[in-house]
Amino acid sequence: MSALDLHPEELLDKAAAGSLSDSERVWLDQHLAQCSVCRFEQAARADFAAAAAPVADVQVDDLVARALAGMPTAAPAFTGRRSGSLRFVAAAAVAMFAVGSFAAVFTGALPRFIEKLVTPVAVPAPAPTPVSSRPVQQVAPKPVEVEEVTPAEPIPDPVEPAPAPARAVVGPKRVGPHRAALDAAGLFQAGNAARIRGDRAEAALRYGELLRQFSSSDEARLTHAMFGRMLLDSGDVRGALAQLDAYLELGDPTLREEAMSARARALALLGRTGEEAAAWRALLEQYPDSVHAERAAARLRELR
Amino acid sequence: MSDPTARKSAGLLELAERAARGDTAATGALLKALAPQMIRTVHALLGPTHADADDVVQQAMIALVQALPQFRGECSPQHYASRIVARMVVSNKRRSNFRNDRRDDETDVDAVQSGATSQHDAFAAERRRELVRELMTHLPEEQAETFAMRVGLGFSLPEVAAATGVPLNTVRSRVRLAKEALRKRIDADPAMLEMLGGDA
Repeated sequence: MSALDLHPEELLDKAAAGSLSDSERVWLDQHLAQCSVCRFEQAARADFAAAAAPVADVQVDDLVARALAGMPTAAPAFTGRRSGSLRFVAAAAVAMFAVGSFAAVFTGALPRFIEKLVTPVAVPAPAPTPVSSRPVQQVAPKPVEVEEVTPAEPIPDPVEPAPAPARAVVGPKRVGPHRAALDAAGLFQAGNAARIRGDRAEAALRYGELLRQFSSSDEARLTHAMFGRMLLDSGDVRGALAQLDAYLELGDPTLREEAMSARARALALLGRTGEEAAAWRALLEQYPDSVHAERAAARLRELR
Repeated sequence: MSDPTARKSAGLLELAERAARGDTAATGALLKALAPQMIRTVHALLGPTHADADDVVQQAMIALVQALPQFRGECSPQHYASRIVARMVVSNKRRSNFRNDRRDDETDVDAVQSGATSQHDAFAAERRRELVRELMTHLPEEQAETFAMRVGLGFSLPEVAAATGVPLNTVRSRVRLAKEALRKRIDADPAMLEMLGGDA
């Protein structure tokens, strides 16, 4: 090891903090005059600090919503906490709805990142991941490659028992031996997982089972909204409207703002402009700071 | 506790503890509080216009939440988050390198135009940042992470030690080894050497 390899890291730290003494400054300057690597380090640290730009609130909100939506619901910290788990799913649902609203403006499809990142939820919940001292390697979810969702794919009737989907299912068969034993939470998770991976037929079956068998559960309440939004994205506008109306009639506040926006869009697609205008006005009245406010106002101007 | 920074860290610690127990409101609040710094960190280490920047931020947020049960408060939540971001970026850079995807290794014109007072200074600054990013793909993982935190995020040696959970002397060793690699890289780049003011 040469003298030049003995870099005065503490003095570089002090220089960055502006706390060098005179003698330390002299010592550091002497080293810097001889050491291109430390000159580089000092300059590069300043370069990175100078390049830090402010981050817009909307970007923060969007990325946090997407991250929450992509959070595996069966993470070790959340297992075994039934009510907490539902609250978490509800929070993720809010985030998914919000993100979906943004994404729909540009693509009309579910956000690519959510589809790519979310690990399909196994049913029942998987065993906790072994503890590791290396958090990122432990937790980094393997991307799930999912093809883009194609619109207007046929969705089975959610209320009547539907036959197995005729179309080919890519990947492992998802209807497993646990199907008959699932409770409301399990069906909710299975439906959401299927919806996220783009298997809308399977999602519709799961949501339908949940609505039939556990119609008064918390999960069923949220399912009306989630299912309605999925149907809207897939082009079944009347089905979507029925689910969204059912959700809004229940008075649940969790997804109300998003459901009102989705309902207004469904009415627009059906050409029921009078009801659509009323829906947008109601949204603006109840949620004047809504993320949908700009869209609502613009649409109301068009409808005048 | 009168120091605003200390108060903020204490508040974040409390949020982190609640989030680790599965409190979803705390999880959202914690992510929202840490997100600006995490976004800035990804932009700094990956490049502000890198196509994967948003994905890496989101992966880092998910990784952070899942790693919270292992967080013991040895460092601030901000530093813990930064460490996770640095690790995610290193991982992403390696994958990009493996795919021979070099789109992020070109000097970013937007960054050059907005970063410094003169074009020459701006170009030099962006070249240095790009060299740091490039090194992250070639160094051993621990060295890359340490180097990213130290140069890209401006962490002191003790801060790197606390965030990575390794002894201070290990951090010193990693920094020294990373700088050896840096010296070889600089020596092989006459333009960079000239930019740094000579061949010493």
